[in-house]
Amino acid sequence: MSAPPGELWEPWAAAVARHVADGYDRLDLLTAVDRPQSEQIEVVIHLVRRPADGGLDEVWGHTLLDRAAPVLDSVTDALPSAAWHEREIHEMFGVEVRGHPDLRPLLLHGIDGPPPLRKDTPLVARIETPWPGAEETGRRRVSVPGVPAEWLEQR
Amino acid sequence: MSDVVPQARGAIALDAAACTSCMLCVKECPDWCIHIESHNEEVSEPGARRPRSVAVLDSFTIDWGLCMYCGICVEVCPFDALQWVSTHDYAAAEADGLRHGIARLEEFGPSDQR
Repeated sequence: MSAPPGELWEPWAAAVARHVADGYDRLDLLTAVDRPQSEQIEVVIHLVRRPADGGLDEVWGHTLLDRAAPVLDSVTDALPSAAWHEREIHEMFGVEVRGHPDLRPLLLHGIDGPPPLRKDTPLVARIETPWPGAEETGRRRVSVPGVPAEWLEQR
Repeated sequence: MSDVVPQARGAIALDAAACTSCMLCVKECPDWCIHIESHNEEVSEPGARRPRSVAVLDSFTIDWGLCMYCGICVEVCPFDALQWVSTHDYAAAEADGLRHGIARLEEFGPSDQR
């Protein structure tokens, strides 16, 4: 999987604050990518600046967290609009967001279990729903696109 | 249907006569929103030594409630039986109304694109 353009920003919150001070104060995107192969969770931000003479400047930033115990410094001091996105990263990827004002559940009220957007979290619907591409004929095992074989063994 | 860009991914039309029930679209669909049922029939042709086995399409269903309009089915179909059309006004009051069979999928065609 190819990564979006941009540099690693370390330390994260200070780098984001520096770009906001530099005029990149429009938050376009703040999300995370689970990278189990490298045992990291990557956080991605895309900030936009509108120069007075028109046009659009953009900048991408990344940071890498330890997947086993991911901790992210909140950027809400510099970018209040990041609060909602950090809540989502917290809920969907199991990332602790240090210094966040409000980490109440966003979408998953009353749902326990591993973070849904970690790649090793089984999708229950993919396990319980019969795959329409399965054919009765033949003993050949067919791989189901996008579904790890070990999920299907849980059927 | 004015104001729709020519390459709009509105719906996917089926040409049932071109479909060979090969199941490629069903297998490649990331959303599992296509279901095909078919059976084999023996066709005897004059001059042929033995009858030929031909797959006959019984049902072809796309569930637009699941479809994410990625177009992988259109791309993998070796026989161009699936084509994008810009028709988009097929909302339904109930989920079952978004499951279109052969008749409704054929009504979308022929493609107004390309």
